[in-house]
Amino acid sequence: MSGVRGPNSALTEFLRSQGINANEIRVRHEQRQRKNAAEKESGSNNTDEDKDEKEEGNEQYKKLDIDAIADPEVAKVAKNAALKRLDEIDDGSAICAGCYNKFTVTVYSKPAPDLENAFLCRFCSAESGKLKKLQSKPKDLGAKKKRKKLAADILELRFMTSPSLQDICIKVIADNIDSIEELGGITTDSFNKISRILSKNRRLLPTTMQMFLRKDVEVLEFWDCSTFAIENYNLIPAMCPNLTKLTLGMCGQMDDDNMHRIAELKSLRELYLDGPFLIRKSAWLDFIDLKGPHLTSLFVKSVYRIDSEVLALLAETCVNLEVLSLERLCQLTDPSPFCLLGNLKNLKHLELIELEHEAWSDHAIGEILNSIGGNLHTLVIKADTGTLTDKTVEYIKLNCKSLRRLELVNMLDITDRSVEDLFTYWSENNVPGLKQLSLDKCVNVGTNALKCALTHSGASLENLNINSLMHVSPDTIDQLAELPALSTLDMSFIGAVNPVNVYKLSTSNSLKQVYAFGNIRLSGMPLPTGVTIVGTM
Amino acid sequence: MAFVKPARAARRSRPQLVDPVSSDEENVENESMGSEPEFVDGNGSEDDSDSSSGGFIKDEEQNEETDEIVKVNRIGNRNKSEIKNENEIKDENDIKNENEIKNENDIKNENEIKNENEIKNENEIKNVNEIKNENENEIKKTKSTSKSNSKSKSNRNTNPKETGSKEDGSNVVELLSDSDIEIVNVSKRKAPAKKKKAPPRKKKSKAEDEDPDAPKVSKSQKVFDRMEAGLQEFHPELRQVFEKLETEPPSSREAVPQPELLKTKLLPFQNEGLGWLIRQERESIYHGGILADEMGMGKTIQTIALFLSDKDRKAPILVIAPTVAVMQWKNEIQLYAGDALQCLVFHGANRANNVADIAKADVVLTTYAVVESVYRKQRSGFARKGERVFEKSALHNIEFHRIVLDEAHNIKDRQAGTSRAIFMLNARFRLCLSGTPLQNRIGELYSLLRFLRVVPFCKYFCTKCDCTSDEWLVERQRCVMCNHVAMQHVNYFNHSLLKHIQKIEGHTDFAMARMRLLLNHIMLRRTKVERADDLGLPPRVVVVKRKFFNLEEKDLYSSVFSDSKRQFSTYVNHGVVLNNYANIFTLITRMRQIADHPDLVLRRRTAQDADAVGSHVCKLCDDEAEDAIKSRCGHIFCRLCVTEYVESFQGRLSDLVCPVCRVGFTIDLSAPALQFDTNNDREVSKSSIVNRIEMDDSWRSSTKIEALVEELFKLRSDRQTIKSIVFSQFTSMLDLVEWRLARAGFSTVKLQGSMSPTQRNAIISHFMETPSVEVFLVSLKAGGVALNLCEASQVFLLDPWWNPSVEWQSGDRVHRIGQHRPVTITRLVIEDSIESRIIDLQAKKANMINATIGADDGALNRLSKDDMEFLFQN
Repeated sequence: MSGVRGPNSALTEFLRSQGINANEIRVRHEQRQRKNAAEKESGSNNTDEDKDEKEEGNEQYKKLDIDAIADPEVAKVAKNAALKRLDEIDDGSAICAGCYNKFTVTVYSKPAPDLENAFLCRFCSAESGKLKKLQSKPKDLGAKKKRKKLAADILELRFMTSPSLQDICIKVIADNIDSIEELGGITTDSFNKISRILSKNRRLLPTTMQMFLRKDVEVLEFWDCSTFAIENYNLIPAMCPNLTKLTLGMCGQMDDDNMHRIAELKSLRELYLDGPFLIRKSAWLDFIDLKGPHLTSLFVKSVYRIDSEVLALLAETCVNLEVLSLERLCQLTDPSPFCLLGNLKNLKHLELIELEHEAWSDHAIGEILNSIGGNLHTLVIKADTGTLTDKTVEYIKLNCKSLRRLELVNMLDITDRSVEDLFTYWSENNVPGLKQLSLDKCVNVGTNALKCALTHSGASLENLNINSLMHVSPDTIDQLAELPALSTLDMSFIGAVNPVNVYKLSTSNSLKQVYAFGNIRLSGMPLPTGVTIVGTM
Repeated sequence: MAFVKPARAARRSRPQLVDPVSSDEENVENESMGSEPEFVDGNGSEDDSDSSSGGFIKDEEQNEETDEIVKVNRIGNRNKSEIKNENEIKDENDIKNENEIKNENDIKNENEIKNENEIKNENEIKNVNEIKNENENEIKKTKSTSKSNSKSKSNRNTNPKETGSKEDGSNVVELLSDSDIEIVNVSKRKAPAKKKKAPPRKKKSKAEDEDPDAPKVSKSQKVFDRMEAGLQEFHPELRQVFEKLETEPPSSREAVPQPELLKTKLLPFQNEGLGWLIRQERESIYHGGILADEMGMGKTIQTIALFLSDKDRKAPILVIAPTVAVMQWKNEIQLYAGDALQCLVFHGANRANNVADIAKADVVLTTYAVVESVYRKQRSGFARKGERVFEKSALHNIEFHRIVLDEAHNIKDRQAGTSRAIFMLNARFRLCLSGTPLQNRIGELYSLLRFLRVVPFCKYFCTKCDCTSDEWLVERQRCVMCNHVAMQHVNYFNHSLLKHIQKIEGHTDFAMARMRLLLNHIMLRRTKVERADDLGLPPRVVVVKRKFFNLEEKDLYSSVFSDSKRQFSTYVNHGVVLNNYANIFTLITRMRQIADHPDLVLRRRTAQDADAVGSHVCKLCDDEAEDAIKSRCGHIFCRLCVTEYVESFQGRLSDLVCPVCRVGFTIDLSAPALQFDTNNDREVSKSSIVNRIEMDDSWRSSTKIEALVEELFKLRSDRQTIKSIVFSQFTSMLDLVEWRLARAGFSTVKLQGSMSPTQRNAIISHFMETPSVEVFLVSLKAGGVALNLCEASQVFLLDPWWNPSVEWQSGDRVHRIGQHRPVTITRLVIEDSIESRIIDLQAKKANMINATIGADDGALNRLSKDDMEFLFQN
């Protein structure tokens, strides 16, 4: 080709620079037109043959996409090829069993009605859907209602057991609490049951709460105190001087003075406070100073005025604490005071839940566990992403030899390998098995670690949470059916779980509940009734 | 006058440019030259002390003076050409003058000299006379408006305007009495202004005289300077606006006791707020202001307290609120004021539309939309039976005692019909309530100032004459009042504040300081952090829950993502990203929807699609409706389900409410069954997405929805009821969630944009009062503001929004006074999708904004090309 070219329009020049040639386009266009003309001529022929084949063949044809092929011979070959390829599904694309067109199979594709392993494209499935709708009989109202009832029961965790007569009576009382003047002659247990129902119904008001205040009461539970005013809180220590255990949930309006009075309760040993955000630092310090040595159990949740100083004092004073739970303490943004928790030599139960991002460090956890890890029966760590690493697992491995319950939640950085090491080491060192294990949202933990955990604690494990462990294989889940003591299993958000796994699990004698949120392959499938499955559609 | 000339010549930086030139220069560049001869004339002896500090002022003075003097000559010029031309001509003159003093232009100079002498003499005589007459009346006014500038304005006696001479008179008095003090003050006050303007002046002169290549002052700065000069010249009241603000103390915030009729106890800072409100109305010149406390700090209650504290009220109070909030206002007024305030809700078809009815009420509640609509009907009419009918707006024909704009940022667009309609309302006092007065950009504040009528910021001024107006009155590029070119009119807010921030580099701090000064006078803002102890609010915990797609979703998502990415790269390669902004935005939206649920994309199309299956869904059994019938409020049920619902109701039939929207229930149980017409495009596309999904067992949920169900499930226990609000910006997502939750046994309510205030009110109170209703579904756009839902303590945000402030607001629905439960705001994010990118982007932008405070916050909303590339990275 010579370097000389004729004068060109700017457009042609531009198109050439983009690799577009007008000539090619024209040729292609002409070809297309020729083909169309040919098709029109042979059109009638074609459909006849089509019909013939339909009658001859076993398969039923709806639309055959041979329009583009002019030659009847070629069309025949194409058809046969299509039929052969029906069950070959490679890289997500497949041939529709209805119209033999290639399409992409998604999880939303419908299986073909007659053929195994074949799917319908969206057009054909819509057709079949319409057909099916016409054929289907109206569903009866009873079935709908039953389904609704079932859903409500699951939501309330009433697993098809009938309530006891006592429970029914308590419910009646709670529902009519406004007409009741005084409660008496029933057990503490029942008292607290009524209190719980009232809290749940949001009927625990300044008026109704007073019924629960008696001189001899030792255990008091108010789970929703959001309606209480300051005076109501003061009534509690004033009217129940013998309290040993006090639970105040959602106690947002409690103030410093209330806290001081609670500190004066002589026999108080166990305290649960959720959300007393008005109590100032000084009141916390006073309370711990006064009451610290007596407390055996302390739960503190959703507070933002507890800072390093308060925590340090707590670690120093509350030497008799056996149970400690710290949840959502917004002002603690430094891991160092947590190291001091190692002072609490009697601690058996430690929960650190959803602390600030900055408060987490492997080092602090290490300090605690090096000091008291050997005593702990329960260790719950609900961390923040990107904070705790394999080192924490290492500390647990080396120190915690008497754990019965271990929960490591939302630790995205711990690896399969480290958890595997942990359980292998424990197996080798005859550490007793766990009753409860949670690896909730530790997404990088996979099959190997779970297998090792089962080898170590399989015999004793009652409660297992492997929520969001995407890398766990379905085979491993099948193995869970063989655990002798397992009663509750959370396997939500493991995409690979399929109905076969669930049927396998239902053969287990001990398993009662399975949580299966977001297990997409289970939705709409018939599932076994032997276990309660929560979270599927 | 003899001593004048030597003084001038001596101080001149360029001695060769003697008198004749000076006047020209002044015309050329308003503030360019440091010559102060006229000042000397005005008040002889103070001249020296001023020369060091008050150069700027003097320039202005000169300008004015010269303007007056050469008026005769200039009139022709001005009418013929723009200022620019004029300047150019003068520039030439400058040069010419250097060489030869006597040329044709010198006529002016001669004139000037002559005039100067004459004028001065006349002036002095006049002044002496005037002093006696006028000073007593005018002295105060002039002092505050034009302290220094008008000193030499005595020359302006050629100006026929009365005001001019009045001012002159009083000014001389001032000077005679305590001129020294005055001047010190002036120089002090003028300091910032001088700083700002000094450098350009120098540069200018250099550029003109010596080095033509020297860096020039930015064009916007030039324009600004010219405008400023014009304003100063013709609008004496604008000369000391900010100085005046500085000297005047803002209204005191001292607490006042709450009105007796108020049925609740105010918190300490609310008492302070009430005090401020009262003083702002009665004592300040603004007759109102902006109460901009953070959300959930009780702006409503402070306002109601204000209502109760003025007893001698002759006209009603008008409250304009978003539709969601109207009923809430009514309820709160009833709750806190009881019978002390009679409410009238001016909304809906059968509202009273005469002045007398409205005037009877104490408080009239209405919505922005209604105000807009009635004003439109009055202004431009509406078509009825082919004719144009005009209807007088009752609201616009009353002078209200007070107008309150709730969520006042609704009028942030000054051009919008709603804003205009609201500007036209008449009232004695005006009050804006807004938790986020500056939602996106500083310019939005203008609408509020305009509504409050904060003079002079709300007005348009002509830089060529003394014409002022509230509106932009321009026809065919010319002002209808003074016939000057449109370009020569400026809005004082734009001019004095906004332009500095937007256009002129290095002025941001200065302008922000001015802005703060102004806001300090008209706005009261307290934040929750400042008043944490007073408020007693729980900590606000924000949690991001990260979930991962399952394999199937991941496949689908990555195919969509790679398609989108390919398309985006095409745009990038061809350099047409900005031309295809809409397309790219759609791509992004699709991906966000897939992260929510694939059906939002796959089922978004309608009957034209071959796969549009459709059916009505019964709101009672959440299944395909058999024998569907529709209630009057628009909800569809199975005939059987609803019959059962109606029959099993024990109370009086009139008390029966719709199971969905909780308003009175009307349904014809024997109505013919509804057919779902899949071929009817309109019906299919308008109906809920739930009608389009397949009700049989083949429907698949998504990770996002299931994550929400799981979270809600985990909140449940046998001893506590924790209520939640779920926000999404996609209504079809909410439809799906509603249906899924109903299937899982949750009882929910949903707030939709299409609901009437009564319906909204009914479902809100249903949610607040019924413990078993645990979930409130709200569209981020419909219910982001003005909802008080403190029975709930959890917020779930299903999809990240570009602008974090919108998300922040949604959190404020629960994090407000009256909340005693711990609050958590949970954002559900699919980690391996575009959502995590959006969150990263948000964080990045938030940092950027924090670093340059006062920068245009609109950057948060804007998606730059880099941002988009970031979103489309692998």
